[in-house]
Amino acid sequence: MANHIINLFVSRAAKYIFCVVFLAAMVFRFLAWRGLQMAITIIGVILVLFLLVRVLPGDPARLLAGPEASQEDVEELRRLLGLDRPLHEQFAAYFLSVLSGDLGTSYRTGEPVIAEIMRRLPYTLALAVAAQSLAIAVAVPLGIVAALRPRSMAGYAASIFGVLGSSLPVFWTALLLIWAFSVELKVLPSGGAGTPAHMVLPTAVLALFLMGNLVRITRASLLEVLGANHVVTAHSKGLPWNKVLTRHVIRNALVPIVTLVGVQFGTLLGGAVITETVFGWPGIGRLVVESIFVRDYAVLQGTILIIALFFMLINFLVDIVQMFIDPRTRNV
Amino acid sequence: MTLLDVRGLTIHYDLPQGTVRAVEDATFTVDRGEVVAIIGESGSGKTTLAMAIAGLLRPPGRVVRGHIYFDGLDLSRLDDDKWREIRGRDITVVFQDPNTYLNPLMSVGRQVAEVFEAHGMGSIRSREVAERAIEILRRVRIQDPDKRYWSYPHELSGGMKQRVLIAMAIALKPKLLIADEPTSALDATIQAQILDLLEELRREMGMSLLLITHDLGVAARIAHRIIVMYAGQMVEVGRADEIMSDPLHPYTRALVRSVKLDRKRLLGVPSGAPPSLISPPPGCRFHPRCPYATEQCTTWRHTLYVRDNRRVACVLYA
Ligand SMILES: Nc1ncnc2c1ncn2[C@@H]1O[C@H](COP(=O)(O)OP(=O)(O)O)[C@@H](O)[C@H]1O
Ligand SMILES: [Mg+2]
Repeated sequence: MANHIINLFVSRAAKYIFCVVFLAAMVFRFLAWRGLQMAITIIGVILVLFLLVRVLPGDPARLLAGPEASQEDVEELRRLLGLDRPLHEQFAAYFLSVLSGDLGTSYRTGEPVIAEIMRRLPYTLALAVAAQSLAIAVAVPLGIVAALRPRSMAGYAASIFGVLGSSLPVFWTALLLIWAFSVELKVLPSGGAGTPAHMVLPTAVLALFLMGNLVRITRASLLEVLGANHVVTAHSKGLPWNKVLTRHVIRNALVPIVTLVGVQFGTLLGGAVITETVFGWPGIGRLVVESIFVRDYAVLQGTILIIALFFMLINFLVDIVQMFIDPRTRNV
Repeated sequence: MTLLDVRGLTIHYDLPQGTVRAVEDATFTVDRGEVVAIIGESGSGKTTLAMAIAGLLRPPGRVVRGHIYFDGLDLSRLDDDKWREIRGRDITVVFQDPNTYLNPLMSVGRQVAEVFEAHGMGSIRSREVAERAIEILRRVRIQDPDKRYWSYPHELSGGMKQRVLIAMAIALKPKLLIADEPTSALDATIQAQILDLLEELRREMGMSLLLITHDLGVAARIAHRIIVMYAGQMVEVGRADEIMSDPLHPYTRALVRSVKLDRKRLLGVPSGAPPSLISPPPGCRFHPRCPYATEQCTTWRHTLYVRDNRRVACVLYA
């Protein structure tokens, strides 16, 4: 007996060591592979941004310097940027400066682009996190209840959200909410940033938009898993319903939900252009719009690069979460 | 000693396009320790019958008439809590397709351990429960059970997955194990191993086995008695050896002949699918395919006639 226990212990210790080594090897392989993929993607994005300024009609030095710069300034910039040198040399120089964190200078403010982006980023992040959290907190439970009890209040609420949420244009719900809460009730500011109260309406508008798809995916995914054969097995064991639900239904239904949340959040981080514009919210989305209007190409280039980076990061995180949920995705 | 007593069980699926009469008037018993095989082509209502006995029938399926008595209990009168106690402990099921009946996101060991948890023997996180599950995995001849405990279904072969399903089904030494085509999704060599394993476990544990199959060869191998179903109805019931040596019903005859000649197709009857169970043929449901059919068969009312040890539903034996 003692022998048996020792054996068991040794085999357990061996098992844990084995597992840890194996896991480390797998994680390393995964990271190496993903790292390579992301590096290639980043190079691609930088290349496109580099070419963008050069294929746009007009003189890149003029574009980057801005419409109000004098001819001497433009010539100066041309030499500074090395625009008189061959294309591949230019790309190498641009690539290296991007890698070192130098995204150029805004002609409008004369400030480094990265500083402008860093000033806007917290606003976009705050709005994205708030809206996405609110959407998840409402839509996922609603979708679950709607799948389990289609004829309940929640079931009907889910149908309404599912249809309206993502089909009402954002500017319309934004104007509606401004009219109701700012104009009529006068309880919330209609635009700007600074206090928590300023965040309420833009968050609500975005969350409502996200909820539509999220409710529908949650409900559909749950219904699909509820009909799956492994759920019958779970019942056949005599497992109580709550355990069948959490272990065999909801967990399995999460896969498509997590994917959608990843896409939604990635999009939000790219700046909610319309919402930020309607509410005068000083985030990344408005920065994109503003830099387009005034042809501040350095800012536009830098912002797009950051947005692309965020998208990749979110994709990466989604894949990690999926690996936790679904063992089948663990071998790369 | 009778363990399972099914009387006049009738099960319908109510669909928008009509009512599927999946099982009509099923009446039979299973004794303690007995192996009863239910055989019939696919679509003849076997799975529906099995699910109803295990309390797993899901809408739109519905028991319309009849009773299921199990170990003195009328199962049709049980509430959910009582059913939960019986499922997994007294009545267990091994399903047809091991690929879809296991949860792909949970380790197979934990899925076995859940049976113990469901019946109050501790959490699946506890060491005792894990060790019990490993013991059961060993019992169904899974190599390195303590390593396999952490495997996920996609890492195992079909035969291994079926062993895991069997492990769940025998974990608590049930009184009745229902095996619904336990080998049809596997290749021939594995089929034989799984059947032998089931028969061996049944003998060791003294449980009853209700073996559902569309393969009469499989049924003949381990069953004491055979129930032949056609289009939702029982057409013949008898001892396995008697049915194999002297089949009475024309459908059984065709089945036995094709098994003996090792043919996949039915011999002696026109090929063709079994009838739709939404609007089955009038009279004997087999008559459109029956070589002995007469005028009478189109108006005959389904009855099981008793003949020695046998019951057979054919007007030839009226
Ligand atoms: N969930 C269901 N909904 C509707 N009809 C079903 C369902 N399950 C089975 N049926 C119908 O019931 C009949 C019997 O099916 P089944 O019990 O699966 O037969 P078998 O197991 O012998 O192949 C078939 O006609 C089938 O189409
Ligand atoms: Mg079946």
